[in-house]
Amino acid sequence: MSYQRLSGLLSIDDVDVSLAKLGLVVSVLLLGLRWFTSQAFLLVIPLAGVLGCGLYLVTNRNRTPTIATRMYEAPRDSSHSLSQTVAGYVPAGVFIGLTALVVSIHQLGMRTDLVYLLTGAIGVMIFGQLLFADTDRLSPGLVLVEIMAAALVLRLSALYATPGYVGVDIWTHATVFIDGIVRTGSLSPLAESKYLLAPFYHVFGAIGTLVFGSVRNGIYLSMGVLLPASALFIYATGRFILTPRWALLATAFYTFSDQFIRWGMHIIPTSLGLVFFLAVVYATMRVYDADAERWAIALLFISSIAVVFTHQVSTVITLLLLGVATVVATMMVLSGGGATPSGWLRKAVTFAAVFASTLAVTLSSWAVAPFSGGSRFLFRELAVFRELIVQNAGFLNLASEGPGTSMSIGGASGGATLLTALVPYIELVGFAILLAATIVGGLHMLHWNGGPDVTATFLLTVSGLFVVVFGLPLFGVRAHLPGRWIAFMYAPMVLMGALGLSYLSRTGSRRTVLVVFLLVALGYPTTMVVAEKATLDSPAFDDQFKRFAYTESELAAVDTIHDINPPMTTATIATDHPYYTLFDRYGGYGSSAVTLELGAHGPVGTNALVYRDYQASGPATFDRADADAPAHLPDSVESTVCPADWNVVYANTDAKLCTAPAAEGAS
Amino acid sequence: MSTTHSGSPPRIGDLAILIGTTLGAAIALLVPGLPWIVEWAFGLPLLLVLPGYAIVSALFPTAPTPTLSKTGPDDSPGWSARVAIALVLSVVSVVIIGVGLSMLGSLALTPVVMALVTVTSAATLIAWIRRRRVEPGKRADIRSHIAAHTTPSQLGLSRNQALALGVAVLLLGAGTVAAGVIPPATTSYSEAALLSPDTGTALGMNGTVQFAAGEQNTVTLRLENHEGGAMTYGAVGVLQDVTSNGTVVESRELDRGRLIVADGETLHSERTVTPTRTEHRARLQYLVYTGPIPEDPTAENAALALRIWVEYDGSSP
Repeated sequence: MSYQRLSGLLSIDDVDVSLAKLGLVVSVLLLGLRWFTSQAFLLVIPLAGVLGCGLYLVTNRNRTPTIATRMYEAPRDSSHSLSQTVAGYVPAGVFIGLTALVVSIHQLGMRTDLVYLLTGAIGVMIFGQLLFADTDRLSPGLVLVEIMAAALVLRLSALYATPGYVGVDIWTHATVFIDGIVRTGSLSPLAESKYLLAPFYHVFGAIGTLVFGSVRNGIYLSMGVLLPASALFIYATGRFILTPRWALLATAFYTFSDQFIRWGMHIIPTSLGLVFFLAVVYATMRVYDADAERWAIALLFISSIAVVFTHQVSTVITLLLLGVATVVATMMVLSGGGATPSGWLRKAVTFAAVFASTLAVTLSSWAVAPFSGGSRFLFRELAVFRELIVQNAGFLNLASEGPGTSMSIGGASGGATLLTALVPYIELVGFAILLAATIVGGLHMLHWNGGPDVTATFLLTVSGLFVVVFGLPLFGVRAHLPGRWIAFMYAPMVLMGALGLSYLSRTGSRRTVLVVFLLVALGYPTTMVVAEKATLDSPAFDDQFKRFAYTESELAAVDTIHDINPPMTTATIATDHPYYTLFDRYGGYGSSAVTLELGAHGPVGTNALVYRDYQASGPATFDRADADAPAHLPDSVESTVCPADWNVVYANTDAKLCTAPAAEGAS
Repeated sequence: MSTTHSGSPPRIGDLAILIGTTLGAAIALLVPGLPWIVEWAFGLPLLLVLPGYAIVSALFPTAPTPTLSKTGPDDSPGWSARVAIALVLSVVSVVIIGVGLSMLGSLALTPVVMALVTVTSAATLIAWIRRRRVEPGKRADIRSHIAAHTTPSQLGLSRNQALALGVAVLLLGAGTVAAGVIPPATTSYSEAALLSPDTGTALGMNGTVQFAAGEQNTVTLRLENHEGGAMTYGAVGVLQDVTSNGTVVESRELDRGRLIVADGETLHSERTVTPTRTEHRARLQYLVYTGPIPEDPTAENAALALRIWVEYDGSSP
């Protein structure tokens, strides 16, 4: 290929088109990683890249830099608009759907396939309005209320239908820390925890407990309401670069995303950290958009510091965003600052000052925050990372295929059917749609006139977070808990995705736009709401993904076993994962609660174990005691876990406590 | 008291509602004996909305002024942004007060509520003063914004469509209230355990259970009722003679009884068994029935089945 032809293909004047072509090639090449590993993401991400880059290339001929996108909306092709009648009744349909959702969850006692169908239908109606209603039929305020109502109902109805709490960590945060703070009226329960220097979540939960009468209500009615409502920041941020329709689409993208649903169900410090992070995103855009007003600077500073005192992972992500904003603003100053050099200097100083102060507060609080074993959080984390990178890093050293996975028994069942093979991909359809739209939006940002500051910040932030979430785990680096970063990454992604779809609506052919919009409206909400992380309480694919919520009788078993077999009297108590975490955190057994090891002849390593019916019907897992242990659970799980020659000293409908018999003749 | 004429007393409608709600929250949360629904109805806005809205009102006394181009320095945030900022500032207010009180060891409902009322009232006063200085037609008032944007024509709806929407919203409200008031579907279950009468802990946790053959031996049967009503449980104690390969050679019923347990209650019943020596290993089973005891009680037809290996004093079987 000649230089002229290559430079023609990759013209710097049309950097967006050049990158789209390059992205298309890279995505196709990345598909080759499938030969080395079966990780679903390694197929979905390249496919989304192909889709996004391909869509941009087929529509770029009609593109123009868009002036004042926040107020400009292209005339719509009415042939694929909702009729006046349908569009007018859809809002009522949404609220009726939400009513049906509340009633059905209340009556069924849990989320079932019917509930997920209903949830998906509500999402389709909302997305349908945003993508297919004419502008004069679209009331932004009304749709915003619909989105907020759906966000609240979807989460709170499921939370209140589930006994206890949803998730793992919340049992410690709620039953140990928050309850302790309420009982003592002080932060002494946090004295040996890193949260002593990040107490905002626990204090807020404690005050909620004082107001609403119980820890559960205290968390659900404070942070459980706050988190979905915080999606308002997505809309407010979107309005800086998008018309109301597309800002609402970004909000809907976020509200119905699996990871945002996750943190609205598993309400832990990450959840509150996400709220403050969204405020930082808004304040950052406000500083860019106006001339660094004092209130915006104050909001940026307050929200950033609030993150530091809430959650450590959220702090790192916030620092990343602030760092990017500082670099971008500084580059703007160094490049002359355009028409407002003094304004850019003020912005650069603002971002630098907030970044520096946030970093200083972070390092000083982490350096004194207590951690397990008498160490300090900062130094312990540095040591963990150093050890991980030295010992465990390696290309394609993936968690799902690491040595730990071959030493577990149980898990996803159902045999090698077509459905079980497709499930990992079904639940990533929503992510793929969002990623493809984000790519289109990102490419459009390289050509629009919305401002190089906004472009650089969004592109650097999203790509930086993408590397952290998906790139580092490829090399076995997972100590930073990459799964917890995704909801934060989604915030700029949904804005870019909405921008991408608004671009397609202006430049795409009628058929292309119709197909894409139908794919988004039908495919995104329906798959996101049934994804694993959005259904921790009651997985839609319940033979593939573990349930991280418990029945009343499973909870009662923990309470009663605690009474009749107190933690201090037992060496270990073993059961499946994740049930053992409940004994650890809620039952008070701490490190005495372990995952049950199964050997060739049954349970080993413990004299007390708990069998529950879910071990036979769901994908609970155990540890293999050694290489001779079976690789798969036999059909009769109960007799394997709790053999006939073991005692059963406690039983209820769902669970039993089994104890090892003494050897014959022993006293 | 509201008017839009220049030089007339300022509109303080939303601020009056703000103060009224704040004082109402103080009463609702601090006066004992009020229904929980009243406490929640005021508690929720006190934690999530009132302090932040007061601060936002103090910061932005003028109504939002949307522009066609980039936001200018004189533009204040729109209503959606103000609501979002109010949420965050409410949370920050609450946690700062909470951390302060925690550090004094005084985190309790009364000081928290009084502090929040103080902060909200102070910010509301500042908001009222600042609004007085703004031209009446330009003052921030979320009620005017809502009223102006909720007419059927503003919503892009016909009369029938607006009516349908109104009914649907009312249905959602009613459904939510009903779900909160009517107890949800719960699973019913019972619990049973065999305990040592001496320690009250699970039988056999400290070694083998030793019985004296031919004499009375005592075990404690613990029953807990979560069936939604009083239950009469049937309990059957069976001693089994079991070979080394698990075959039950003989079963002898040693105990039978009917035990009444109220809903939500726990019963500890001392059971006396008089085992005779078995040829092989002995296993004591306790079978619990939530209905009539069948003719042939077995672990398979029992609601709950407990079992424990026993040894006889003096020598192994």
